[in-house]
Amino acid sequence: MIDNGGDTRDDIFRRFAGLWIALQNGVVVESRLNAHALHLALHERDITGVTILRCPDRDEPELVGLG
Amino acid sequence: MLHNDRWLFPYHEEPRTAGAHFLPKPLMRRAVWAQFASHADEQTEKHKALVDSGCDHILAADWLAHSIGVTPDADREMSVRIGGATRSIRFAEVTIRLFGAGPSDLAPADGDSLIEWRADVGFWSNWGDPPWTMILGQCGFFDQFTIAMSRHAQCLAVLDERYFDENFGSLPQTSGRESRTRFTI
Repeated sequence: MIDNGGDTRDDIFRRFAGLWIALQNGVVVESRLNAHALHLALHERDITGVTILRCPDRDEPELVGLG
Repeated sequence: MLHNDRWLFPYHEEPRTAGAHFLPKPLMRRAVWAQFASHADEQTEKHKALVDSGCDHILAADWLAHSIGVTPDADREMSVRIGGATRSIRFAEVTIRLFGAGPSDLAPADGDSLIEWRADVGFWSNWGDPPWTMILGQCGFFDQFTIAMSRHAQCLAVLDERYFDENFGSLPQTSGRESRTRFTI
């Protein structure tokens, strides 16, 4: 488990900028550079019941459309 | 049905890119918590899904399908331009579950999904680093509900599919415009 106990949402977004994260009870339990790698890491550790989202990095250009 | 605050979904704030400090307004995405499930009720984790009115499909990463034992149909394959490239998508029908907003946007509200429905999802296979794993577009999401989005309220509302007609009526027919047949879901 990655200890981020007590971190706010903004703290988490800053700390994990550029990464996909899996959270359980508000705590980041795994992070990876891409979502598939995160999925595989969770599977390997037999972790279920998480929520998954990405923390964009401020150095990335702003995504304005998916086309 | 679908007329209380459980069906409100706050916009998801992302950090502005460096150097954009001159923009006074925050970067807000329209996103909800969603999950896919198979007929056998194998289910994905809950993902933050982008609500994209400009996309005609529900799209997702193919490993999500594989993780619940669903194989996208090789006979229903097409190309789409997304993420700056042409990508193949193959469709498969899955159950989609929508979860209520939680107290923070790091997780949905506790408990069961608000609603679930079956829909075709186009699964991409050749997009290594997509910014979203699930994209909820017109067919499969916007045709199931009336979706109201307000940047002013920084919130998205999921309403009954009849809400639009009941509140806005329908356009009068004119000779210059053919009406489009509405399909039954």
